[in-house]
Amino acid sequence: MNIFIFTHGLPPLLPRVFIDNTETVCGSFHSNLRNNGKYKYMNTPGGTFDCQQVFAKVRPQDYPDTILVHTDGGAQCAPINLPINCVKVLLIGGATHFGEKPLQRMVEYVYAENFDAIFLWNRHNAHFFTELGFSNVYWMPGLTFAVPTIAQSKVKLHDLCFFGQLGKYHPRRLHIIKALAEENIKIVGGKLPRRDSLELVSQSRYSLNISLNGELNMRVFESTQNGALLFNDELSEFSGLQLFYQNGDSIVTYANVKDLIEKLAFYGKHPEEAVRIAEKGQSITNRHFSFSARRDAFYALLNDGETHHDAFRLKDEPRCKIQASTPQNKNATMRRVQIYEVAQEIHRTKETPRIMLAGEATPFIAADLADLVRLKQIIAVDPKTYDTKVRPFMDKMQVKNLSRVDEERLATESSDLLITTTKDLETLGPKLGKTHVRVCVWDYNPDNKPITETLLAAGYQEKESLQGLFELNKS
Amino acid sequence: MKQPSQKKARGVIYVYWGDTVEGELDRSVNSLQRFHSELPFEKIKLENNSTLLNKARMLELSPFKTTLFLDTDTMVMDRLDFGFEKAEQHGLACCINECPWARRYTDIAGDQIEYNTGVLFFTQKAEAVFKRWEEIAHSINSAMVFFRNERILEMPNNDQAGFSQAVVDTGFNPFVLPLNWNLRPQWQRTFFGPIKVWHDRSEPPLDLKSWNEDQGLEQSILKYSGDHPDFSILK
Repeated sequence: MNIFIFTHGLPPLLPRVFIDNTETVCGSFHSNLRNNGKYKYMNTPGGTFDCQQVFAKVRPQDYPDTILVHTDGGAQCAPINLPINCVKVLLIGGATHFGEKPLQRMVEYVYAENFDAIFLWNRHNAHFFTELGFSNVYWMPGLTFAVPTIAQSKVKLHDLCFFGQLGKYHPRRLHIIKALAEENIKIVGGKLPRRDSLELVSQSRYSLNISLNGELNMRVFESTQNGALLFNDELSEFSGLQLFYQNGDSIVTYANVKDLIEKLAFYGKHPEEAVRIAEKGQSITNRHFSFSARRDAFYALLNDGETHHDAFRLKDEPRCKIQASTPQNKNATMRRVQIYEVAQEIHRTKETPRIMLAGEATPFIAADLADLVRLKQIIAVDPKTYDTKVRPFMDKMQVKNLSRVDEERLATESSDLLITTTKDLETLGPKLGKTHVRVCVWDYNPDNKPITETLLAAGYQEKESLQGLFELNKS
Repeated sequence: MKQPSQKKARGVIYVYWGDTVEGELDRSVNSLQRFHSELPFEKIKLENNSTLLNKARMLELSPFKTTLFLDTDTMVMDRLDFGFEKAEQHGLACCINECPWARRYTDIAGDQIEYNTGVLFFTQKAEAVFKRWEEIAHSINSAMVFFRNERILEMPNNDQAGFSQAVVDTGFNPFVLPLNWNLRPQWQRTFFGPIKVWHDRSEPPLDLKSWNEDQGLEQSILKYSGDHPDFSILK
């Protein structure tokens, strides 16, 4: 089998082997290397490019049977014009939870190229793809990337370690690390070369993970595989973390800084318990997320075979059961993708974000926002409508972060984002104060001048980034 | 001395004396094991009154068929298989010294090349070089004068003079490895690709480790360190 893998990844962060030793890996950071005439690595352009130009350099006997495209929300690797006579698999990497239009980009790309299967790192984003009618959508945290094996340290030299970036995309990390420092809790680590990071974990009793935006990231596996007790920020059930790891059993989760500090103190006083949990976490990671486990699951899913765990098939994700059956429905789904991207960016930057939904806003939005774990969403609707129409749907979709207020409260309550409709604004508009940082009009029509004027008069300015999104004028 | 047939295949030796180098020796051993956990190593401690000139005994002291000798102030930063292969092919693989002019030693003239003996891959094929090195190590005048901060200082002896002369005397042709295999960061600030051995008491900076993680992979595009003005090693 000739497997071609197109990737946006930097070589040091990629696995030595994605799937098979005979594969050809192509990327903009890769050099050209041929073994006996067959490309082992190929340098290919970044971003969008015509892959036929790549295959023009390849010997006929090396043409691909299977193509994997590894990309993410930045679409830094988006080969187009993929050949039709081979299996095409899309691996969507972890960076769909921040940045500019990450999900919209991915959806547009999937529409353009006819993939036979889509594997997503971020489980909680999968439902948009299933809803839009793409088939064979699977979850694979970490995709096919296993954590490199390093020699395990026999001695624990440190208590708490943290490794990873602390840049502009990680405000929560900075906040939590500073808070721990103020409590005189010593943390070793920082932004280290990968091998050093893994060795540090192996030498540490505890490893701290702070997700960028509520996602199950590689740190979960890097920490547990190397024997440290993982302290992970609480993720929503839609992340999939709880399908494998449970708090107090194989990892420790914390809701906020105070909870983290208390739990660090607790396990500091109960080292045997800490060791027991760390060992169980390690065993789970080795069982389910080793290279061979991932590869076997990957092949099984492609061939519709048995996997060692059902979680990858997303059958338990209630939102994945929704299908947009008409073009209008699909347009509505895409509108919800746009709104979700605004909401997830708010969630990334705020510790306790609040989003309000006006009564006419589709409850599907609330189901979308359910996976933003620290988000409080509030729907302003009368109790009867809530009990008969909204709540049953929320229960079915396992939404736990939604509450209700009376409609009048929309004008006085504050939020980071108000999602409303043209109809709601007809009554709300004149009463709208400056209590909502942003307003997004679900069914916005730029030709509807009165609505636009109402919002402008209320002190909002239109955002170019998304039609129907208005933000409070800071001046 | 073990007969060649009794020796283990590949291995690493450290030859040292005194107690002050234990810390850097441990550092080197740890770095070796990081990349070559499969390689045996021997720490060979000489009498306390030994000097650099006693390093010439390394072939005699080695229990391995193919040996890598490392100075105690080195750190292994990548796989070293190629060095062993070249030693097996040619008998001796080493780097040219940061100052390549052996004429800095009193008894050596002309354009003769000085090799750095801190990282030496060798086999029995190079026996003649090591034998000659041992013969002349204590008799060759290896004193040298040099500048430091505009002052002239003298180093009374240095094993590298004898080694350089031994290569010439025996007519042996060593395989020369690039400076990446024995980087002397005080004097060698720019390079292409990965560093194999860091030869300095200071710690390699974190950005060099990250550089190596990338450049050590055959699929990575090779880079020139001088193109990165923020690289700490340049400062």
